[in-house]
Amino acid sequence: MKKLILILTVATLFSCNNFLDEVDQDKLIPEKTDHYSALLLNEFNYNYPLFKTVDYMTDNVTEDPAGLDSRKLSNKTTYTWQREIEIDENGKNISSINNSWEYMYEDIAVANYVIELVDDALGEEQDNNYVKGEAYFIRAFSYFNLLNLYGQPYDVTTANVDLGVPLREDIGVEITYNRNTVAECYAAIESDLLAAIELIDNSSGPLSVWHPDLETCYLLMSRVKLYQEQWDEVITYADMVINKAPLSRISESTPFVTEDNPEILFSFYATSPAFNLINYGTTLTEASYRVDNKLIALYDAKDRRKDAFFLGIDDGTGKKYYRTKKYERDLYTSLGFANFRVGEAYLNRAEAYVQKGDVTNGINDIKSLHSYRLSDTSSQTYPTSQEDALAFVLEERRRELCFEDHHRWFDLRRMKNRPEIKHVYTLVEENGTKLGTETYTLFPDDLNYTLPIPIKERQNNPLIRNNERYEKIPEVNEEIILDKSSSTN
Amino acid sequence: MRILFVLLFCSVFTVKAAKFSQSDRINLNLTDVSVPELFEEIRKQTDYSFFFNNEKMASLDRITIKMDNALVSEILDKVLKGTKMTYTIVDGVIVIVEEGEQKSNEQALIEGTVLDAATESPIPGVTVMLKGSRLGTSTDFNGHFEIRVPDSRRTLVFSYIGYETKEVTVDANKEIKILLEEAVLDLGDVVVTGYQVIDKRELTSSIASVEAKDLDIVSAISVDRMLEGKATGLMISNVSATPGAAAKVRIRGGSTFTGNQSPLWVVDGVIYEDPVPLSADEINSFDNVNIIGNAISGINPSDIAKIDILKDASATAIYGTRAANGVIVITTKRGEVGKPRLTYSGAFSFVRAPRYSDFNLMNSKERIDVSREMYEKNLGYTTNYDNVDRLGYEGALMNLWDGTYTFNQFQDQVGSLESMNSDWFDALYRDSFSQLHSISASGGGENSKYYFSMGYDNQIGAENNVDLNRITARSNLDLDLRDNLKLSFKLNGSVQKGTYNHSSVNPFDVAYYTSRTVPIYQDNGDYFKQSQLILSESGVNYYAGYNALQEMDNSENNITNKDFTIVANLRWDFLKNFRFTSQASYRNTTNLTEEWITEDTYYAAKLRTYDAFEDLVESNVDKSSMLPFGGVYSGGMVSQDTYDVINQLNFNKVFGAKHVLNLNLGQEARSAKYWGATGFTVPGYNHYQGRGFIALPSPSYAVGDIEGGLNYDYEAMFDWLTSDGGMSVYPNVTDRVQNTMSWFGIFNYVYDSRYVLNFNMRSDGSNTFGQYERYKFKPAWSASARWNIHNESFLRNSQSIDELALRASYGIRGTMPNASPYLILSNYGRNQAIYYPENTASLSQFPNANLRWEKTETMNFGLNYSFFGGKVSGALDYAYSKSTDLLQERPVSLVNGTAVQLYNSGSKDVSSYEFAIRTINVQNKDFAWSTHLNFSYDKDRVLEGFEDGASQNLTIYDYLAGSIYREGFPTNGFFSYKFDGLTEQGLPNFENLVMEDASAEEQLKAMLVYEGSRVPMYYGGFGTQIKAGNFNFSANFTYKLGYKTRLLKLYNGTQNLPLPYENMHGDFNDRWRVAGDEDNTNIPAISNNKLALTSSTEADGIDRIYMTNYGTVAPIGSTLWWMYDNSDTRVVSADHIRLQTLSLSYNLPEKIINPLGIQRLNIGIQGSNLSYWAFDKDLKGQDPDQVSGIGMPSLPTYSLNLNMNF
Repeated sequence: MKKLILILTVATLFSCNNFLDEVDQDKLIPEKTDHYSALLLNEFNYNYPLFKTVDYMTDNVTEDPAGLDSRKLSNKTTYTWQREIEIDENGKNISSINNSWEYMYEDIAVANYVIELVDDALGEEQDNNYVKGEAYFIRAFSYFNLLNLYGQPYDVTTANVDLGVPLREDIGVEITYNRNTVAECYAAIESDLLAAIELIDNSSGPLSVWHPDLETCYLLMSRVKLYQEQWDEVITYADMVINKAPLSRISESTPFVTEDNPEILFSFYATSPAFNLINYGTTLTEASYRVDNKLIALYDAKDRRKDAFFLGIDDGTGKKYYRTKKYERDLYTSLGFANFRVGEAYLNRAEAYVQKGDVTNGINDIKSLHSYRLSDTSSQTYPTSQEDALAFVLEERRRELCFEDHHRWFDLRRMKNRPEIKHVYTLVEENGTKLGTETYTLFPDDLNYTLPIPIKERQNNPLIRNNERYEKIPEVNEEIILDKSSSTN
Repeated sequence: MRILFVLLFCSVFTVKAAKFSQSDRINLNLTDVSVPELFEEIRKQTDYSFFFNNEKMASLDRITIKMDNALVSEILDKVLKGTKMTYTIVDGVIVIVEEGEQKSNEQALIEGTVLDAATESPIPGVTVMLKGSRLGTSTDFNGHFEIRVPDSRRTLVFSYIGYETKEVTVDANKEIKILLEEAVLDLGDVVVTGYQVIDKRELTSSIASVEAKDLDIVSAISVDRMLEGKATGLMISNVSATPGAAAKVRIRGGSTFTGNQSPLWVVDGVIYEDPVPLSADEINSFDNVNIIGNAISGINPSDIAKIDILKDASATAIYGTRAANGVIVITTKRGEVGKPRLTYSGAFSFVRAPRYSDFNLMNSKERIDVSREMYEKNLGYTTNYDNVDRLGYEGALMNLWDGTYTFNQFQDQVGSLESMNSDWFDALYRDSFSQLHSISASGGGENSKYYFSMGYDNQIGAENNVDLNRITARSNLDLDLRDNLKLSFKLNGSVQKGTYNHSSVNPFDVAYYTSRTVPIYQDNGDYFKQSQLILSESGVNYYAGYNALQEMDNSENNITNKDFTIVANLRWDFLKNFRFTSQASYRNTTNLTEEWITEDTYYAAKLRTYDAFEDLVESNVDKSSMLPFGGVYSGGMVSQDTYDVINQLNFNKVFGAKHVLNLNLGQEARSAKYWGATGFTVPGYNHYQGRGFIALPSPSYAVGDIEGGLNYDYEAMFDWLTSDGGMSVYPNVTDRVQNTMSWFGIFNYVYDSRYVLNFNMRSDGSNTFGQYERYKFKPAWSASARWNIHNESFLRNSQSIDELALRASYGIRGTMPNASPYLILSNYGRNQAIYYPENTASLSQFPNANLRWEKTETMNFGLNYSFFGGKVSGALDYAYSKSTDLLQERPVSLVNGTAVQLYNSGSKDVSSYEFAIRTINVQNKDFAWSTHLNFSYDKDRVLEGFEDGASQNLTIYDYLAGSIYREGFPTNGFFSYKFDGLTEQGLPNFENLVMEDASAEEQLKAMLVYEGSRVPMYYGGFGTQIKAGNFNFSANFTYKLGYKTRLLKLYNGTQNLPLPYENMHGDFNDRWRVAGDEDNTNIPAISNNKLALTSSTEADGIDRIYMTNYGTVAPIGSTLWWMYDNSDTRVVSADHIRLQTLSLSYNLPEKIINPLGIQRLNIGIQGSNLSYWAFDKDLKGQDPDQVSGIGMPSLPTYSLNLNMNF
């Protein structure tokens, strides 16, 4: 009856707005700060939408020549940089391979809602600020990933005409979206990061390593600047990280990524890993894809990272091949499978210094890193020329950040002198018969460095412009099948 | 009627005496006119009034006259010459009299004042006419009038809208005072919109009314089941015969895709919500029957005085965002001034049980013949089936083979099976009786009027165990507190208790699908139980005995609905032209559900994984027994509260006697809330031992367990605790609220009773709108007009036309979005505690901040007609409705964070043509005969639905069930697979199974054939009533045309060979038997080929059939047999005419009953749903309204009823 009186009052006064704000109680409509925080944690952190086959496109991965075609096929479209990656050779739809787009935009949508709504959440203002800052960070990071997967590689001269990705910064729903330019995307990312920095600075701070702190934002900003070749800013933001957080020593026997490790600024991606190399298949020898030995060869004998990052496996012939431990819980990480680490700040700054011509400072940063990565640095020689130093820094970056997040692929994309990458694919029948090999090449100036927009997006959004890509025609070598036929004769 | 009168100006003809002069000259040029027509022409040109005897003038010869610049007197002299008529002119009135009759040069002046009888306040604008003439005037602002009349005739008629017409014979030259009584409009003359009561003759909208006397299906307890065929634009499908099942109701085809397509029910101005918030899909689907109860479950039809069906925008815009599907307004009976009146009415009905002859099923012999053919063709079962009980012909064969039987015994066995013909329908169904009683008392005095009623209804279902009881009560009280203050209270409540069979038992399916060679009882009278597999483990099969009767004896499903409504209505007339009305209402409904089944059932045995407790398998108790003891109980409760307050301010004024203006401003606040918990299911239920539960024993610490862990005896039972929904102890909690705040305005203007203009507007704000839209009060509005042609001067004298009026309306109304505008989370809690020491939550649903109401624009043109004193009457309507912004899940750019989003993007239109006619063919004191017919045609069409290539969310089931919204098709259009005849092996063949490189969309297009609409496009009813002496006879028919239905399935599940206990459809008697039959029959052969569909190209074409786009074009796990049931060869036209009722009643002569103190006693018999005539012979006994899976369609019912007034 109270209600009746309320309505009567409402009816006469007609000014009580709450009447139209009542909500259904059998659904959880977020109202507390923690509701939003919990949503972000699960949506972005736990289910980080990594482009799971990103490393298959890099020079860090090669195939197992004995691996059965049926096992390898699902990753072949990205491994061989096919024009359309969501349909395999048999016409089977494997759209999940390209679902990062959808999930990153889902995270952005969640972030947009949090940004829109969290100010009114029940909680301390400082806590609200943090969650809002976190949402800005997530939006910035998601756009950064989207841009570097689906947008044209950054080129300062054409960035304001090159196609980036569509920007959606409010909660309005549109049926179609157009792609913004690369420059607009970077501007949006930077503005979000600045907003995140300001909010997190005025907040209660992160609850745990599972949430970004100020240094995480600075580190991402230095990365964003690095990709845009704004070297001074890279140094400024990297300094802000390095001045606050130390490096820590790596060990082959214990996980590097732990809660106690001060080098780990922010850990995320705790759901099922991209590569479960150890457990893949019933026996260790059944791995279909493995680490390219050329990457292993880059590690010095004194480099602890080789054994900390990789597991060497005897392939039965006495020869070793490697798989990464970076996606193994309790071997490399006891937190998430992707992390913001102080190490990257040194690499970002080193690259910026060298690019600016300051080789000494650049190499010094590498030396600092090495002192935590190598068992002994005394025998190391370091390049002195700017050109050699740059190559060295990039190689170091590959050694340090391989199989983490999208690093290697993104680094390849922004390189001035990209290597030509060849991927060999061996056709192996179910009974183990090898039919031949196909060799695919990703050229230095290849258009296929930019992923195709997902088919579903193109269906649902006729306005979206797809990226131009090449058809990849392999060089076919049927020696093996010839061998086989000759041997049966 | 006390609700609210809109005072409208009644039809008047007033003659204003302006200036006139005998020297007025006029021009006439008339050919072949009657004398009165000539007079009318003179009147127009001169302002003279005429006074004459119409009959006598009309009997004069028709004349042709051409005179220029003539004096009126010249004309009259000429016309009246030789007619024995003469004239005098008095004060501008030309009086025509017969020569020889006393010349009435004498004039009488009558003057007086007209007052309201109750308040004694003067009434302006009252029409004062001299009886039998066209001479008249009207009262001035002070209620005063003056009229000069011929001295010989002095009877005056006073009339004013809203008041009783009064005739007074007065003495001349005397001031008189006339008191007019306020009229209570007869319900038959008004329509009720819930916010207004409108005089039928001023009605601008399209509203169909059903009078209480037309609600004549005496065996029905719910009014929705009575309305089929009763009104144009109203389509009713009675999909189930189960007592308490709600009918599917649509007004003009509905106007939404995803929202509830049912109309809004309004009872005495109060919107009735459904007792349980069923999803729109559940309500809309013609494949789903709602026995939970609907909005009007608690309304006793005998309390209903009238039903108005509001169809067009003008009628419904006043309901704002609830109106787009139409509104059905029920008005209940009220007390009338007079002696107390006691009425009793009762009815007893009998429903004949369904029998095998109602269906086309095999008998034992035919069924054995199928098995024999299987044996001869050497067909074995492709699925594991151990004929444990050695049922059927197959069982007899097994006995023969393993030596149990000799060949003679085998033959005896087969012979006895062939003649067994178990009657499952007889065992599971019964002739049923129902009784309805209601008693009411009504009456009233000067200051109060009352109506009380009580009703008791009991319906015993044809299906065993089904029983429905209902008690209803109503009290309507009207109080005149002061002359200008009226208060009315309405109170009503009902309790309806339904008992049904447990949801795991479907008696119709059991009767339909069980072979008649399976015995129902053992020789000793116990139930015969078939062994059915309950668990297969490590190669060991466990069985439990199944007999549907055993299940039904040991289980129950109860649904109780209670509702309670209280309405208070205040009417206050203040100042002169103002009226304030306020209505507050509260309604509560409670829905209680309970379902239980005991341990002595197959259902429990299956959960137990062993049959009887004696059969307990120790290891299974922990491993697989979810129900180691007791039965299963589940229950739920949903309560609904609605508060509603409406305030209205009315201004009514008559200007210059011809202009009537009526203005209504109103405001409404409404809150509807649902709360409750449903669906908890608890194991361990002990029904017969005091209805308790066997609680789980406490866990113990295991002896010898090093870690000291808990040891529990009934591990599998924990399944009840591990899931949410389904078989779970956790209920679903409902707690929803919908608040709406609205403004409305009604503007009405009538000119001279000829032209009516109406404008309605309403604006709603609701918490269910998107957050960008919430405070934008949405206007729904309508504008409409009416032209009463019969009141025009050129028709006014017509003897044959009583009513001829054109109506036109246009308006916009809306539908609330059926979606949440909020961001919704799920699984909030410490889910990932091993990673995060914090809460996580998943996204359940993105909001759509732009969600808007669905909008329907409606244009309506109508014609009302009534000729020859009401002997022929009816209406014609054409309406065009276009609904836009319809919510549908549509694909959107993934940039939105989701690939599909509810979007205001669909549209549809409906063109409706409606025609109704009622004729009174004979009407004498002792004999009357009338007939009626109504016809409706709704052509509905999706304008924007799902586009091609974007149908990711549609499944093949949507195509087959007709729930797709595809451009150019009707909203209920459905598709079938294109059957391509039988192969040479008698197997079904389909077109385009393999289309390499075709997209799913393309293949669907190629494989499916469009069948038509699932709902009738043409529908209506016709009938006749004859009254002869004390006898009344009536026959009513309904018809539905222009739609199709799928025949009942030939194949039960995916099994193609009938198992020994399964019966087969009689169509199989025409099956393919030998090569060449494929040319003559479409009924496939008996075959053990699985014909399972697969995407593998290595399919063998026997057990596995290769198809492209498997999983999309045909669902995973489907077979060609399933496809056959869903093919075009199994679709027939459902067009039919139904004999709805046949009634005969007799009024006992008063001289017999009056001495008994009875005023009226009527005894009647009625047969309802006696028969139907379907046009498609392939239906072969299937009721065209029957849908697979719903069970028994409507059955013939015979009733006896009694009505008594004391």
